[in-house]
Amino acid sequence: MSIQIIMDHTGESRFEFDPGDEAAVAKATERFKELTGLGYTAAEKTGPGTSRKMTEFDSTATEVLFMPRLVGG
Amino acid sequence: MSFGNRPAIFATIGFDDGRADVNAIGVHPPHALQAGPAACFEALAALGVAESKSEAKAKALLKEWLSPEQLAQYERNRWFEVVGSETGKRYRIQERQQQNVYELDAEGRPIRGWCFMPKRRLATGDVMLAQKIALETDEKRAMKVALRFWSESGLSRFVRWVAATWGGL
Repeated sequence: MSIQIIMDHTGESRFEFDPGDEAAVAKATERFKELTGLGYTAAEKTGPGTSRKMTEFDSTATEVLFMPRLVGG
Repeated sequence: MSFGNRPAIFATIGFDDGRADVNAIGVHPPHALQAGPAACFEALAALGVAESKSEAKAKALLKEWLSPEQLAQYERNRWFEVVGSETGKRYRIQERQQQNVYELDAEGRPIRGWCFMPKRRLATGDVMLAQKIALETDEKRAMKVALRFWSESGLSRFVRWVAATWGGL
C-alpha cells in the first residue's frame, strides 16, 4: 500500500491506495495534481529522516507528504 | 428590528431568511445567548480537545519523518538541526510556531533567526516538519520567503572574536 499524507488543521489526513489498482492510482494522481496546483509542496520519504521534493506524481513513491506553501512570518 | 437593550453581538455575513435564529441581515437575536456560559465553556473545551488532538497527531508525524539523530535531539531539547540542501549551512528548528529557525555557525551557535511557515494554520509539529523538509530539499526557495527576525550583533561577534583570540592569554 502507498500513502498520501496531507497536513491540515487536524494534524494530518491520510489517504492509502493500492499502487496496483488503476482506479486508485488515477484518484491519487488527481489528488497530487490538485494539491500541487493549490501550491502545496509534495515530498517523498526516501529513508529515515530523508526526503525528496516531487514535482510530478510517481506511483512508486510509497509515502508522500503534502505541505501548504511557505510564507515569511 | 429591535433586540431591546441587549446588544446583538453575533453577526454573520449575508442573508438567511429561512432561519428563525437569524434575522434578515444575518444578526442573531439575543435569545442565542440563552445557551449560557455552560455551553460556551463546553464549546471552548471541545475546541481545546480538538487542538490538542491535532498537536499530538502532528508531533507523531514529525517524529516519523525525523532521522534518528534529529529525533534524539528533539526528545532531549525540543529542537533539532537540519542541513540546508544548497549551502550546507546548519539550522536549528525549535518547537514553536514562528520565529523558530536559527542559522548556526561552525561551532553550532545561533547567528541569525529566520521566520517562515506554512501559509495555513497548522499544529506545531506540522510547522516544524514543513520547515525541515523545505530546508533539506529546497533551501533556496525557503530562504527566498524567509524573513530575518534576529541577528547576532557586530559587538557580540567582536567580543567573541576577542575572547577566542586572546582569551587564553
